[in-house]
Amino acid sequence: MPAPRKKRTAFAAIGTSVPNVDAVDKVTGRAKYGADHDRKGQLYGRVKYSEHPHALILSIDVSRAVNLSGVRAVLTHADIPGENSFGTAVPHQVVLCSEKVRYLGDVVAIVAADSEEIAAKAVESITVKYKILPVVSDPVEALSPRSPAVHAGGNLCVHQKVRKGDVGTGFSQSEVVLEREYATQKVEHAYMEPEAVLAEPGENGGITVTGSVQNLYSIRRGLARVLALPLGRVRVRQATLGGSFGGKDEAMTALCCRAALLALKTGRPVKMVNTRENSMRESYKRHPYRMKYKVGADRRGFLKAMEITIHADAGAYAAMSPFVTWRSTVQATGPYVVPNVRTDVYAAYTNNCYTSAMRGFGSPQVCFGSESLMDELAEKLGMDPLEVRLKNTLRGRSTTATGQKLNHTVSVGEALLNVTKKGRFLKTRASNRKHNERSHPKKGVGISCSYRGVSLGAEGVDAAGVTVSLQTDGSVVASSGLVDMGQGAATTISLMVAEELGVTVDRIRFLGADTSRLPDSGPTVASRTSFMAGQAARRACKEIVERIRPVASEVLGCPVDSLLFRNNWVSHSTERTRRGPGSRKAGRGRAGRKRLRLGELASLCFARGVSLFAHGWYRAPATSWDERTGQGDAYFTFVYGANLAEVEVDTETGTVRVTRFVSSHDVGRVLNLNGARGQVYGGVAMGLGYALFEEYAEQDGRPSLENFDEYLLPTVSDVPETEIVFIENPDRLGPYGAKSLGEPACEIAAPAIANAVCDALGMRVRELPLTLERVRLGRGLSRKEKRGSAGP
Amino acid sequence: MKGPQDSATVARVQVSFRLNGVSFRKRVPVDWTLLRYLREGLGYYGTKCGCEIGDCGACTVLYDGVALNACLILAPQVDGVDIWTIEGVAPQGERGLHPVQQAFVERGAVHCGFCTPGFVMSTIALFLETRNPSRQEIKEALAGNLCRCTGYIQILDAVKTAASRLRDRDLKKFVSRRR
Amino acid sequence: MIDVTTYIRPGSLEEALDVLASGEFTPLAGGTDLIPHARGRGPRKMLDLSGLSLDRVTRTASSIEVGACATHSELCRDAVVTKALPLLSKAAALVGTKQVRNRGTLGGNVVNASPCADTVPALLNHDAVAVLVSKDARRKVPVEAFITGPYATCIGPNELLTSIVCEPLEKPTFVSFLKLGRRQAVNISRMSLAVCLMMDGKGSIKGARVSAGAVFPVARRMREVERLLAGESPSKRLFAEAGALAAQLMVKESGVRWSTPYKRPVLAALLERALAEAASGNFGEQ
Repeated sequence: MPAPRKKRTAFAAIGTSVPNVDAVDKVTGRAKYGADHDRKGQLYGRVKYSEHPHALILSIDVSRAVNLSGVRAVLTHADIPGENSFGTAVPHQVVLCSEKVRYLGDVVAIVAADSEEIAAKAVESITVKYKILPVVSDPVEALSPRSPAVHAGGNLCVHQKVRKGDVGTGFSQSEVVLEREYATQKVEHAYMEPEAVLAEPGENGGITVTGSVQNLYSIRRGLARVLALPLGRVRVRQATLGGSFGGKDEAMTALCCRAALLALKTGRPVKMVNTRENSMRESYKRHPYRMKYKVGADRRGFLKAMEITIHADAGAYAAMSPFVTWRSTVQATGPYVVPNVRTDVYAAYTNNCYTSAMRGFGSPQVCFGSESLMDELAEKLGMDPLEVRLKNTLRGRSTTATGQKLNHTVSVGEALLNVTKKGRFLKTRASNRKHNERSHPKKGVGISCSYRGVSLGAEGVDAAGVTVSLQTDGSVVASSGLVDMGQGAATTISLMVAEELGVTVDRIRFLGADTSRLPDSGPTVASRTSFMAGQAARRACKEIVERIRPVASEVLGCPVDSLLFRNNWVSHSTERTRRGPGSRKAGRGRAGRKRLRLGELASLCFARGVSLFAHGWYRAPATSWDERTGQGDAYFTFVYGANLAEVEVDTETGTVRVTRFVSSHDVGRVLNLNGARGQVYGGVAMGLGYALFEEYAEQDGRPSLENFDEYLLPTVSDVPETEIVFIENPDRLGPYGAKSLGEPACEIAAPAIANAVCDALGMRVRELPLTLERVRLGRGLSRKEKRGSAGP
Repeated sequence: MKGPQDSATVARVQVSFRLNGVSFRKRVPVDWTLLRYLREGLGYYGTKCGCEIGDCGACTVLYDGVALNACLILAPQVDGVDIWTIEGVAPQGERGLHPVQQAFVERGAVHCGFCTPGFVMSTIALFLETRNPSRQEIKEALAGNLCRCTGYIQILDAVKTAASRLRDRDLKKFVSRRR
Repeated sequence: MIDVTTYIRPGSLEEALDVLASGEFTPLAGGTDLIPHARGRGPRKMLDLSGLSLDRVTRTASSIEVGACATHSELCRDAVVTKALPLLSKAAALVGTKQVRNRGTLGGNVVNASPCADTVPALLNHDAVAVLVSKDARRKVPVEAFITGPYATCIGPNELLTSIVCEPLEKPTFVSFLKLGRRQAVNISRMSLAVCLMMDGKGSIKGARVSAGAVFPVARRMREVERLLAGESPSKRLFAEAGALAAQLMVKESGVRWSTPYKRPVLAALLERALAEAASGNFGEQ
């Protein structure tokens, strides 16, 4: 990889490669994560899990636990002062189960004790009597009228649909029609840090919760609702977050509420830290999808119609399922022009571990579906996978499956050309064919591409705030309602503040999020942080600059509009601007002041009562959606990307090695090159795990694994050399033209790998992950052989 | 020898060990792992707990000069052992990062950072074995450290960068006197 | 949380055996299997072996004695082991992670008796014998007999595995060790094969040793396959026959299980590959 270098742009900070602003704290062990917070006199909380995937609770006997020495509180549903449930989409997720349990991660009682050991003993001594109910573990069976009902209203969690044109007409115009079934598995976020929270009773009768939380505001709402406290008395602070990937969002409300209930009951700080086993058992996963695709094209390869039916396993609770499946409907066709589309996505409740947000948010599944389908269509048409894609990709002014006319630079074709050029796709394919005739292991190459809506889109209200406070020494304190969870938001936002105020990044201190300091900025999800918080930060900075500019103009004796803020100095723009800290002496020595340090200016402003603090608020441009037809302007803008993977497949054993990867993404503008690369590398690795190893397997609602010995993540030995080609088509709405990257980088890695494997095999495998068995036999094996293999 | 007579009935055992160059003499609980003892007993939170079964590497420490999982060691086992944790790598912090730490920061190898202390310790252990590791040797040394954020590429870059800058004195203190 | 109530670290073997005589203590070597096990309802009384100097490798005229507490890393490094017991050092190099190889021991791997233990097929090919010592007795049991079932051995509660005695291979012998896992590194073995081909002067196979892990309920030598190979000249056809025979044996002994449709062809292919690799002499020629 070439050394990080500064790119030549009109910007001072944007587009440079800077280390993450919190990296020094993290590399020295000083950064404090959820479990690193301890308080004097704290108690240890522990949960009593359900023993059955589906059962009625007849009685809960805590008497023995209460009497154990060292036990300070034992609580059940009866002890909850407010509502016993939360949830933005459907407020039915239970904090402490009262009538029934719906999956093995449900909790019926909680304990606080002087030590972890006593808490564990107390939990063991709690006896719960159940009436066992039949289990439903298959999302299709769950929708049958004969299925056991997980929730009173039936098992249909949500039905999302898209209707565009008329598929009947489309198929009748098609000369080639393919019907295929694809399936993806349930996977775990596997953030390295298991969930941890510390709840402290406050002086005002309120509660402060510090912990590993991704979405502070929705958790605060949940806490207030469950504890029956006004929002103002509930404070949620984010500890340094050890990874999240969508996995520590609103659902962390449950753990926060449990710790808070125990803390309020005992009047003492209560710490609750999940073991990896607890985290695997209880925390939500990525939805497994079963997808039926029917596609029609004419002989030249132009798509005429697509009909898509998807069943998603929502598990025991709705959580974000309605939003996740909604994104799936928008992306289900892939980034192609399809005149007639009919898409139905059903999410069904089951007694499996529930599913919700995870990096990609409903896209990795459909990307696997649509990108496998395009390869199969190419083969049927006798074309190569690139040709059939390029014929159909969205272009400027194209209309998407949801009827949105794209009014910006559409670069999916450009991304495809980038990766296929760099990866010499067609040549490699041809030479692999020759190689595979006589040599072993077999080689394959595969491509994939996608379009993806930026931020929340028509999912919901989309706005965010950032505060910026210029200090009298020219340093800056900034904080955002959107959080850093390891993805580098603190660094990206700092870069934008640096750009706007003309300070160097090292002068900026970015504070961790705290609900008592900042307004509700919605969730840190949907790759929206750079975009939304970025725009908010710019607004805050611009406000400050507007206020201090007149003072600078007065001191320097030059017009307001000729002032230049750069490198911690303010100068007349006709002055040479490339002065680093080294030129400070020269500046000071001048008689007529032509420049002054930003710190001096800030001091002067402070002395004159000029406010150096600003809060920037940004509301996303409007989107629209018609639920009946699934048509509308789903997102205010989109990003585009393409991936290429090369693999070696040992066809005798089914072992796959990914040997090379090329990734191209249009990010609008690269804000921090280091960070942008990191997002791509990390996304590729996560996609590789999705493609090859990872599966949270359950049988009748019982998981068959509980830790990293069996839930296999990619190691350093599994990841390929990865080349990145960034495309920069600045977006007119984004900060400096930037859009998003975190999720796009992840969603198309698995389909590229899967297509490469199938290319090597000369056989299509339509289920993920591509385990040894699936690659060797073309079908999966499970201990019960229950889940049928999809496809012919 | 701690005989059955004096330790069979007590829940704590007296041990002497060196931690980050400092000698300790402590009575440690027999049912605590070294990981728990470092964090809860001594307040060294830099060593992270990710799986407790030796599969993630977040708790990697230098133990008599080699990389081990602190979650797989009982606290009483540390008697006579020389241990280094992330806190001891660059005790003066920002101004004096160790070349390994510096390279991790510069090369963008630190994302969420939860796995970082473990990676740094594994990397130092690797350098104690070989100063010029091949790509394969680096991978073998780090395959026991899981990272979910970076995709490892920037970590590999960092290790290579660190290798090119390393001087003898950067490793001296970690060399166990027992080996 | 670890459910340990007692910890003892004796300084001599005599003291250790005295403690073990009570039958209540579990020997703790590297702890890489035992400590995770102790997080549940595992052993409560631990006898730490680290003070007993049981990690030595000693070479005698006819055999090599490997201390039970030699770590996997030591087996990879040790000059005697790498030269005279190449299968063992190769197997040890493929165990778990670097951290686990630095801590986990040969004795622990054998006593844990996992059907997929990496070192066991290698030991079987070296005709390894476990040395078991108790306060009043000392006995030697072939590793093949020592492991009696999945996670089961014939060790008594008062006995300690102190060393494993291996026979170096007569010359010229060609060997190979293959391990199949799902990832490129850090794998619980899906299948492992240890192969030794003892050659005569005329290029024929004088004798063969073939052991498989994660194939049978207990890792074992496949003597039926060895007999097939003995006296033959190496050929693709012979090795394919051997692979097919191994697959037959697996189904006969382990029955048709959920994994059989996969394992049957893969065992055949992998054994063929291991034999070819050994015959080509590109690994561990002595």
